[in-house]
Amino acid sequence: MKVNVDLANNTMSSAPPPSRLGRTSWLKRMLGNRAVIMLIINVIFILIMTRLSPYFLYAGNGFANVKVMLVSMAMDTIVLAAMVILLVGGMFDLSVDGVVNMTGVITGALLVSGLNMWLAMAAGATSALSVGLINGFAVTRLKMNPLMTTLGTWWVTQGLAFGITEGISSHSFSQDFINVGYAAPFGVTMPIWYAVVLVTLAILVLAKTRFGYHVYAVGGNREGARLHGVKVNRVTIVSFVLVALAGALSGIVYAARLNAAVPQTVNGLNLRVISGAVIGGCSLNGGEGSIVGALLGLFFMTMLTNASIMLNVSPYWQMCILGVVVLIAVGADAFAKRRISRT
Amino acid sequence: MGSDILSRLDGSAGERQPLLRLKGVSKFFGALRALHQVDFSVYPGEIQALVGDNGAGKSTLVKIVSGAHQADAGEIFYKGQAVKIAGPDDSFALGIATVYQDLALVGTRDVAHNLFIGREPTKWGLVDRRRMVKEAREVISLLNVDIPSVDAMVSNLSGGQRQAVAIGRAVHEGRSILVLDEPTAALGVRESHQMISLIEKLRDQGKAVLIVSHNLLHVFRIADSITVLRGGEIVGTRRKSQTNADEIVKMITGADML
Repeated sequence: MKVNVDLANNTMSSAPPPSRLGRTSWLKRMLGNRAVIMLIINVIFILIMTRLSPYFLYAGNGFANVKVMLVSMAMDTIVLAAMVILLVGGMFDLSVDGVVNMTGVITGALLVSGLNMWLAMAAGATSALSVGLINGFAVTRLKMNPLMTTLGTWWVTQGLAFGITEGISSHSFSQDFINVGYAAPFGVTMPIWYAVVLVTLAILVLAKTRFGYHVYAVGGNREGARLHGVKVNRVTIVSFVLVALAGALSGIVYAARLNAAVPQTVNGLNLRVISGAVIGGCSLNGGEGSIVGALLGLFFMTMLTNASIMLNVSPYWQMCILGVVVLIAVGADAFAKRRISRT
Repeated sequence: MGSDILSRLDGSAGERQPLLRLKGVSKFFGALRALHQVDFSVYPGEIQALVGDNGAGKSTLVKIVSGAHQADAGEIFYKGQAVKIAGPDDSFALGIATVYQDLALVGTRDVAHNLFIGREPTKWGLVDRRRMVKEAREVISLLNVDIPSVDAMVSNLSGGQRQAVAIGRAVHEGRSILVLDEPTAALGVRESHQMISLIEKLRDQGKAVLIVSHNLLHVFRIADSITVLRGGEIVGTRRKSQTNADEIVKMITGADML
């Protein structure tokens, strides 16, 4: 029989079914990429908004609104860059709000007590680092659920932020410290510099380093990655620490920009960043997503919030709109996956 | 190796040294005895099949060899030298490559990365993607399977293609011992036959192959020697030429004891 002859040679000539893969058209592959879709949606959104509101892209006042959006997005991006790494690795961190506030408050209190600026910032960062380590160890070594663990550490850190200030925020910092958030080298304000540097680093780490490859492997198949010798717990712990340290930077920059360390500086940053990342193609199951996609997702959410202000939508309805957008993004994802698994 | 069951059964092999030998290996999960005093060897250029009913300890044995579990008692010898397999890295260092039943692939990554997970080549501290792609192409063409592209996402591949990726991972870098856990379980008829001829080809290249399978038809087609596990203990090892399916089934079920 012909088939047997073929098998003896281990060849595939017994008419394998023509592969449907590798023949996907350029256009189809582009449309399968969430980052590309988000880019298109963002462009369309900008075009519509410029029609609806003359101030959205208004050049007359030096693009004031665009600048506001960029700075607000840059502040979120500091945390987003690290959060995407954590999400791709199949985890997420709700505690980052508390970490931001706690770091700001600790740094602020130490500054007011007269401690050297760099030491105060290092102390703030160290407190954040320990929260990252606790999150990481709890989730890996103790196999605690990441949702409840980081919810718990969120409350603890937020409580610490309140407890340390006892309601009275420290303020009136030195100009040197304020410059950490307010300096503008080459006419560009500091948060944008931080965001650009962190995004560049995060892209490099995820796409080019072994750590980044391992993050994708751990997120895609944790047990499989472990069997292949990937240090899965180390990957997860390092990712939690990166988010906490990004939160620390964010907390310090906020304190510097506000010239005050307020225990409720951020509220909902965690959900905003995670939602932006998910809209941009990250999956809470891990293994998928990119920094660029997440950035475009966050950009869309930032624009949406801004646009609803421009169009005089009440803040209450803004929340509804953002919620619907998140649901659509998650729903579209589930729909696409169901179609793939059916074919 | 007079004490080795396999050597006694096959007179011509009396002088051969097993590439890997387990001696008196036991494993407990709490109070459950998964393996008890298991003696077991694999030889270069030979396909050694491991058969047994569900819960007989086959997967546990595979995981001890691959470093995913550690034996509670017993010794492991590599080329006659006592060794310790404390983790997947140790197993890899001994030249053992394991293809797990669930393949342990990452569906959200492409073929090239799946061939290198945990051992991504680097250059200047960054992953050397170009080398990964080049070597992945070589492995795929060596296996002679119809994987469309090394850029293809593994979740888009068929069962046979995934199996080929998992085996490709094992053969690349010239591993000398291949451990295959149920290599044909998820495959259709045509794909199974391709897999079997692929395994035979690897055996002919001098690799020691340990294959765990439920499928006695496939076992009898490719194995040189068959070991039966029951209730965590070795019932016996037979050369294929000196046994038949009836005897093996009796050994698996324990019917010969009745």
